[in-house]
Amino acid sequence: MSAVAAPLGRQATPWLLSGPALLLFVGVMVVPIAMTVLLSFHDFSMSKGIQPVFILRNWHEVLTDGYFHEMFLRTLRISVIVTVACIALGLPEAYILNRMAPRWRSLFLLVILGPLLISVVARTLGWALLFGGETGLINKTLLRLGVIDSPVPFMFTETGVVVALTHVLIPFMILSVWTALQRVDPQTENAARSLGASQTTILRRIVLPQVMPGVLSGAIIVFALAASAFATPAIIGGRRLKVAATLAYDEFLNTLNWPLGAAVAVLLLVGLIAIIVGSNRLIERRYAQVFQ
Amino acid sequence: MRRNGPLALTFHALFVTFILAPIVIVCWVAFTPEGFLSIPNTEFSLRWFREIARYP
Repeated sequence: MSAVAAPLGRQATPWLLSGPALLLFVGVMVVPIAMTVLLSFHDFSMSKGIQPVFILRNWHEVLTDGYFHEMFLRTLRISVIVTVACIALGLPEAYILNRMAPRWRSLFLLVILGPLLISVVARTLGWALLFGGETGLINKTLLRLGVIDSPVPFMFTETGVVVALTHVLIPFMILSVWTALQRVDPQTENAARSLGASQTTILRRIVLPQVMPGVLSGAIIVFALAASAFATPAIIGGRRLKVAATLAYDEFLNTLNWPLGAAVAVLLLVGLIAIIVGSNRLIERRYAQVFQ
Repeated sequence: MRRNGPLALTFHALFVTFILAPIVIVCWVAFTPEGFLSIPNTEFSLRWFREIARYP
């Protein structure tokens, strides 16, 4: 029976079935974002509040003022460094976990993924305690070990934000690489070894290409979450070191300039979508054979 | 399946320390007897837990 001859009821079935989900999606996602986009074109003044007119002032301000450039560049820089750090630490750790005895493996998987169950605020406060100004526990330890000569400033610096964000987001990278490692046939490693490959060659030529999809999807998750992170930069960075998310928050709730805050939020969203879609294209072309 | 070498296990130990450090420190600081944020070294108290119980 062809689709044209199908009774109306059958044609409508997919729509009826996906209807509730579609309504929810439109209601809680499309409408708020569309309203934020509209809000970013409204005018604001201290005396009159928000004016429902259509102007480009907020966008002009966000795109030309060096203050905003600095914030967005800092957000990008922090996200890129956090993503690279998560790959550099998470990839070897996932591989080591995969080679452990099952008993230890389940214990350490719990240790590594367990922090996801604890609030980001609690974990970030832990870092704030460890950094603790100039005389925190980390600086004391490093000074005693002779690694550094003078205390490294962690609080209210990008270094501190990067360390704490890496800690918060690395479970996502390990989870992603771990999933990819589960699909790797261990016999491919043994086959390479039997053909005389060294451990480095095996890692580079056999294991790495097979887990690359996991690394890349993990990188996209970590990058997106790092760029839109709010709690960690707010606690570690404080008022001095703002990123795009805390900047939008400040415009909304401190200066009460909602239209400008909306412009910042929309620009962050558009920038993130552009970067993620762009890198996805690049990755799919570069690693086409892995995705087949 | 080959076992992890000493280098891999050292990396793993450092990594687990990195993951657990901030969580352990938060729990540790909860036992401070002081009225401000401090890391208790010699004296421990349940003062702040009693404080929670007093204002349910």
